[in-house]
Amino acid sequence: MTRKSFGAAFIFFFSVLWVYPQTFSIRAGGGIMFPQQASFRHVYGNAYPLVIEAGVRLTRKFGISSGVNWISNNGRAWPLDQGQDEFPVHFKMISVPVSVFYEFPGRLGGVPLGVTLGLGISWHSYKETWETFELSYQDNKLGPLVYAAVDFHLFSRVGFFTSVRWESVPTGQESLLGGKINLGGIQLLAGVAFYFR
Amino acid sequence: MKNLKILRPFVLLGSFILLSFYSEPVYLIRIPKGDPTQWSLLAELRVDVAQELETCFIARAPRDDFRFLRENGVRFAILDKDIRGKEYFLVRASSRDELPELQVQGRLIEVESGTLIGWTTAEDPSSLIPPDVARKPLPTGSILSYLRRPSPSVAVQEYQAVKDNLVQFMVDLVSRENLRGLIQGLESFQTRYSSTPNCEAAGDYIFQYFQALGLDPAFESFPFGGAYSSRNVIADKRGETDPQKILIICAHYDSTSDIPTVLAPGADDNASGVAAVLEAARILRTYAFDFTVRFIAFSGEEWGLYGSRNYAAQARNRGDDIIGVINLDMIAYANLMPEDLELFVNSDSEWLAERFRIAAGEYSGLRANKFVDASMVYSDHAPFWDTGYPALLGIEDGPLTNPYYHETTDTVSTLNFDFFTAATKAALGTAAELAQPVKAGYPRSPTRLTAQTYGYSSLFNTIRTVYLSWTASPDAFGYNIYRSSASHLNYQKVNSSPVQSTAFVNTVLDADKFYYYVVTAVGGGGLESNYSGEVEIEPILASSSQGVSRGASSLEGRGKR
Repeated sequence: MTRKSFGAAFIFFFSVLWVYPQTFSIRAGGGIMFPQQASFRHVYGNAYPLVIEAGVRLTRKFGISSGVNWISNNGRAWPLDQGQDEFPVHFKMISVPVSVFYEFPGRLGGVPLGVTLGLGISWHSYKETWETFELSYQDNKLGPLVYAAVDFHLFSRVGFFTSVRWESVPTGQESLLGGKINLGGIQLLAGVAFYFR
Repeated sequence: MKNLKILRPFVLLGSFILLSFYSEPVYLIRIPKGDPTQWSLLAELRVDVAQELETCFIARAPRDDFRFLRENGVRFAILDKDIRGKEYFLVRASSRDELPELQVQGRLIEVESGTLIGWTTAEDPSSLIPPDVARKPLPTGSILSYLRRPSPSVAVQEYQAVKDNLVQFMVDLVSRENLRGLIQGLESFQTRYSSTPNCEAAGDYIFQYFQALGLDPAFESFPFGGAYSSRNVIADKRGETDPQKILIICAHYDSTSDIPTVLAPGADDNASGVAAVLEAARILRTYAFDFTVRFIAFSGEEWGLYGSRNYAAQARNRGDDIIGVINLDMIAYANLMPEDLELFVNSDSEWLAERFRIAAGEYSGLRANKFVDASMVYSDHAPFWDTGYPALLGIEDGPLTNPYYHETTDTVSTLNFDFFTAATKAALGTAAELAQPVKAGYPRSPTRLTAQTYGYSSLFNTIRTVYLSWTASPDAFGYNIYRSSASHLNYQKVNSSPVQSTAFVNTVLDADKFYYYVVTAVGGGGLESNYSGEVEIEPILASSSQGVSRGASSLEGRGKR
């Protein structure tokens, strides 16, 4: 499923680029995610996502974007009563977001920048594994996302970006640690951007 | 005006007294059974459940609780708006017309097909129900703490028995002539209707029979019907290894008919059951068992299960560790041959019927049919259900086909002794298997098996670690640990080689299932003891009362620590 999704995203973007040969950008970076659900934080704490994304402007200010977002975290199972044992668990999630964005161009201290607002949908494939047992859970789900980003065009083809992103990943499952499980949260990201015109 | 001020404290005091006399009426309600999570929801809401039936619960609730119930998705129907001063009976009747007296003096409502609930404020309500109509008084206490989710039935259906030659030897000692003689002896009292001197004389007869076998019987007196009392007769074959664990084989010795105080021979109902119990006592008393076998002849059954209600309530108060109850009621009439024996159980007792069904086939060649039916509450097994003990009813037919049932013509000449002997053998074989014969040369079973469990949860999965410990068995070189997801059935060994210590830790990965553990001692030459007593591990349920959702979890092996 993941390979197919990558393939689909790849074909989609290069088709768009071929049809609309305008500004194309690639971003790579990382950051921190603050999970919105307490049970996620109990088990895994904050997460540290890595991101690779590509965007293309279809008009001067309007474009679409997609990529891959990867989270891998270690944690430990939470005792429900007086238990003293340690059970390490591992969580990983690969997300493929597809979004539309609108960019407001501007300048800051002589540096050209673009403020981007976007919204979209993301496909998430996730797996939780108990490291001392052959016990795991995996599934995939769709969830919405919204974000705001600022691109600092330091050079003509290379820049720096920072963004804040909110994602919701409702799994439809209940946790004994409390409530319905949502793997989403707020991500603060930063990284390098490459621009092709 | 000053005089009026003086009156104020008295007015206040009067109001307070009036208020203290006022109590909110409590309603009788019917709650249709829902999915398995309803069990835990009722427990969480602390609903005062008085009776479990096949399709519904009968419960008591003040009006204030109604909104609370509705908010939590519990549907219900009101049966009666005020329970004060009333006694309620469940009645098995084909129509309301069978109960004219109760209809005149009280009320009668059908709560499910074939089950009516009636109530009256009369001083002796049992007298309003014709003596030949089966009835069960509604328990006055809550049975909520004994309600559990149904155990998974898949494992129950896969049970494979191992035939025990010693048990077969015991079964082969059942004597058709003894059974005939015992029925004739009980029939000779003319009537055994509780409240008559003849019934008490029959109780003495049973007592003396136990005494003659070398057992040490005891009477247990209980009141019933306002002005009467009667006696249960109890005798023990004490267990050699773990005597605190008790297997009960029982039957009621009282009888009834349409002229109960004059003539109620009750050969099938229920001299047959009592004769089987006495014959089992005659044979089993000479063998040694791990667990205690308790033989009980109850009285007051035909009045409304008074003897067994009294016994079961006291057993629960004492904290008796009852493994299971085999209640035999009408096991000697065959409307056609080969006759099957019907086994009625509630969901918690399904394992017991399965063990009986297999033992019947193995040891006596009798076909026994299992029915999980919580509405079959008209014999002495029902009070054990109400107090959380596994119990089964063994009966020739359900619904009954005996035309002499509760008639003055229910005599020994109407019985089929081929069927009766086979049914007795089946009951004896089941009792002997469950009590576990002690065999020479084999190590004794471990005792006092206890389990402490801890739960751990990740986001999507929950596991439990089970810490087992037990008391050492003499001459044991090691121990094997067995686990099952169905009580008393299909245990699977969880250790790869015998464990040297008297403790073991096991991890179970399916948190929403019941698990059951037993331990055996391994002696010289690899001989293995009988199972220890069983411990139960309850499932972990989500706080929202929803069972743990397993989603696409993969459970591919046993964990290690």
